[in-house]
Amino acid sequence: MLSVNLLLTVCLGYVVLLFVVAYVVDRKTRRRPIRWLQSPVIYTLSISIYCTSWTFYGAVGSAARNGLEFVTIYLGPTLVFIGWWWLLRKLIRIGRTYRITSIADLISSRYGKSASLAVLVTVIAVIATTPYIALQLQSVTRSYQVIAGETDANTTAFWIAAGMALFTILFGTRNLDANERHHGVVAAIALEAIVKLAALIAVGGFAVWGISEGVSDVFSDVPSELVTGLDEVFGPRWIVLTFLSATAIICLPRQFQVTVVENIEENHLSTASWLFPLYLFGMTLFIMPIAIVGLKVMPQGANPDLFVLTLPLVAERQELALLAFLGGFSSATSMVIVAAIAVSTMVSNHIVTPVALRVLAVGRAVSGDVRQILLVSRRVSIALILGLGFLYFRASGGSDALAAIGLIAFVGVAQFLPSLLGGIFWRGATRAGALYGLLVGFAFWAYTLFLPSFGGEVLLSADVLRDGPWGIAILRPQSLFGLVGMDPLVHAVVWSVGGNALTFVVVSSLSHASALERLQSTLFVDVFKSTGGEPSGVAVGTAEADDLLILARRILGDAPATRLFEELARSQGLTDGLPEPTDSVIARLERELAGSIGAASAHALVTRIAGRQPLGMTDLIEIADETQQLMETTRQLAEKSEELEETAHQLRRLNERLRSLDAQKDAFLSQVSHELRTPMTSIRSFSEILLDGEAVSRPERERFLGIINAESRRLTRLLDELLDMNRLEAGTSDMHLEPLDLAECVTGAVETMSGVTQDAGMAIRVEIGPEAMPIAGNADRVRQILINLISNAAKYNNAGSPRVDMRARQSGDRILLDIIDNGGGITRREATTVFEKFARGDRSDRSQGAGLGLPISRAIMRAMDGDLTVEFRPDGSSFFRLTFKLARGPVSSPE
Amino acid sequence: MASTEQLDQHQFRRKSRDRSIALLIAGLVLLLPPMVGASIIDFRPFGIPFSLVYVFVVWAMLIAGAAYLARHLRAAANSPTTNNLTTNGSVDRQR
Repeated sequence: MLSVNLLLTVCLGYVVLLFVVAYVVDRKTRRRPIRWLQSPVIYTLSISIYCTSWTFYGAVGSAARNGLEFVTIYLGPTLVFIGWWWLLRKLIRIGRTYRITSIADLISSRYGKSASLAVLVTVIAVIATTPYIALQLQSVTRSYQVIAGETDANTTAFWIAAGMALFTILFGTRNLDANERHHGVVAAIALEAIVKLAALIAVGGFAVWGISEGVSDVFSDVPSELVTGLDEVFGPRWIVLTFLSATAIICLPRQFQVTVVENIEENHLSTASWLFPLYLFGMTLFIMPIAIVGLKVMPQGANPDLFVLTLPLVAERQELALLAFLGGFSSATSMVIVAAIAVSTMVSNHIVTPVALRVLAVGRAVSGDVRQILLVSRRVSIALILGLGFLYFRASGGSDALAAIGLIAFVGVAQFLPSLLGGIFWRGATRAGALYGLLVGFAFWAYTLFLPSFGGEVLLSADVLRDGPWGIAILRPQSLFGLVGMDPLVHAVVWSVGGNALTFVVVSSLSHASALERLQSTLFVDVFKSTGGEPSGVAVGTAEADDLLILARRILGDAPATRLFEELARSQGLTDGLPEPTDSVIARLERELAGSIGAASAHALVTRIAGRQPLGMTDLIEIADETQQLMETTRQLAEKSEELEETAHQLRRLNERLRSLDAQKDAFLSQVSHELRTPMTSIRSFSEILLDGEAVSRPERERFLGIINAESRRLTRLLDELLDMNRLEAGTSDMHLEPLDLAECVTGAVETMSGVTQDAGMAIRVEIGPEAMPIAGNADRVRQILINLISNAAKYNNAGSPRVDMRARQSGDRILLDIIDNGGGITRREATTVFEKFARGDRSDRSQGAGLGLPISRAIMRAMDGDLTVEFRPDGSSFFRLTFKLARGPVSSPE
Repeated sequence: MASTEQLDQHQFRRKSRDRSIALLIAGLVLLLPPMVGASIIDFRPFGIPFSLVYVFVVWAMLIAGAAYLARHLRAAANSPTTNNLTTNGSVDRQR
């Protein structure tokens, strides 16, 4: 047999370990967050406080009594978690955005920060938690008795309760965290989650492979009724239990605490969505085998609730029994600690603080240290809650099956569901609806389930239970209004949750919401659409910044309050001193305070200090702001579409341009082929004549060959010019620029052309001043242009005594060279086409040149940063003008 | 083009959300009466009554489905198109 001393030593060691873990983590996190503790796995493990000793011991008992039914307690949460996207995500977002500290805070915030609603939810939570804590005390006490023999159950339970209260007070209320987060406690319960899972799997493995010989052996000669129950297991009770457990995972104060309040990172939920159901799966996998093996092995009449512990003991496996005891101990302590923290937060925020404020607040200032009051009230609340649990344990006689007690608590907290769901999905839900719904549900729950659970010893006597009050059968608590023959649990759920939901909906639709309620309902229901809305503030008030600072110091503590005010002052652009108590400052302060004392209390406090109506125009304006935001978005959309239209327009223009360029290219190509075709044709025809031979005389042959030769040269020149043109236009021609003397260039060109000009009988007069005219250019290219222009003048001049004047002058940093012939120039119409490729003046004929001279010259001039233009005199005659860039630096000789 | 990609992503996310609700409905249908009652048949794999096997297998499949969807839904939750809440700085978070 396991010795009591060993058991107590190991237990004490385990508790010390939990203390150390919680203490170290708490201290370290204070300095900076510990990475692995912020992981989704730890988050999931902390949620697993859902598995209390009800699971650890009670599930096996439930399986032994009712077969598969125990699974429903874990299927409900599984369904809620795999559907996390639709409910839990929204709850967490609301909780994080509006600094929700508990489920009472959430419901009261949603319904206009109603203080009475907060009190009601808190009271229901305290009463519903009591049987649940009693359950833990009972299971630990019984498991201790199994090992230590028959001790006085009440004394044992008392010391267990006292120990748990001490631990919770030490770590749950060390400080007032602005967010109600308890990192040390979370680390400790994560450790406990691993211990209880390991213990249950170890015992299960032992039952299947240690005591029996594998899975088939466990289930051999087991009648199917053991699993599916004697009654129909998959009946109304199955549905109701699944519904209750799904509700509990959201509404139990401790589950709300770990899932919503202690959530550090929204993303963690996505991991928990499958990891938490997996944890539940692991916890329950061996429940049925343990129950069956227990029923086979243990003597008739043994308590199936304790099979997990008694199986190893009977098999004389003491170390396994010790592990099982620790597992059960872990599951009980973790539940009690978190439940006590969650409920005490509610009690102190929603009951003690408002009362204390009323007592302590004289006029507008708050006297007394609110922080100290809060901490003390939380500690007292924890002791009170465990005390109530202990009293319930004594009163109920500790004889019920564990699962039955747990279900009483489940139905109790299920009363929150209508107000909660309605609050976050239905804008029309009102405070009155929630209040009356909760009252009705609570009354039905107390009358049909909670009070009867004492077996006729508290308030309702055994006679009343059996015959109804004053013998009125129709009011019998467990078959109310003639609803007979129903399972008591299903009966209670139908009346309480059904009555609650119905009252909630009906009263909500009949009553009117206040402005603050309407605002809060919008903020909560549309939490994913808002941009992190502020809790509604007070009207621009008469609040003094000093008053607000004093208030903040009392609640947040000196350093955080000072930091907050410094930050607020900075955001207003003040370098020192206190911030102006504007609306946004007050709203922000209220939000910070809400993190410590709940939204309703914070609102009441700030309103008192600000000395104004709790709701002013600002709230209405805020509602209007939402509409404005929508309009802003619409406006931005309209701008976007305008931009798109503009872009499309530009694209269209570019496209047109491209199309016209394409047409020009086609025209150019056809011209080029035409130009090439003419000399090719004459070359071909003359060469064919020559090939024919005899009939051609020698002088004729020479003439023909001369023509062929000339045409070939023309072709070559044409091709050269085309290539040149191409290079110039593409900008690939490497034009080397150097300073040149214009006079020298002109003289050289005129000399070169002297043969041609003399043949044409043309006189050339050059008028360039004595001063130097340095131009930036390429000597060869300048010469090419000048020759081209002179030869043009010679070719196309039909005047009697042809003459060309060349005059140069400087204009700014440009040098202009005008080439004026007396041939009459060109018309204005020609001026636009003369620079196009293959264009020729009217005075020319086809035989002379390909018409590329001028375009090439212009391209060269432009490549040299100059230009070639046609200028007109007032009398209509025209001339060519070369514009050169003035060169800087010494002039080199063109040769 | 970028916009096509965004559209694809958007549709992909919506698909994930649709699948998550399909998974939830499948869970409800398979685990609640009358469907779960149909598992009472005279067939015992490895000697285990079929109802027990049925419930646990469905459960395991739901977990697997949730694990598969969790990854995609997380991406959807973090996308700006799903929600545009900016974390409002507060004293506590900066500390």
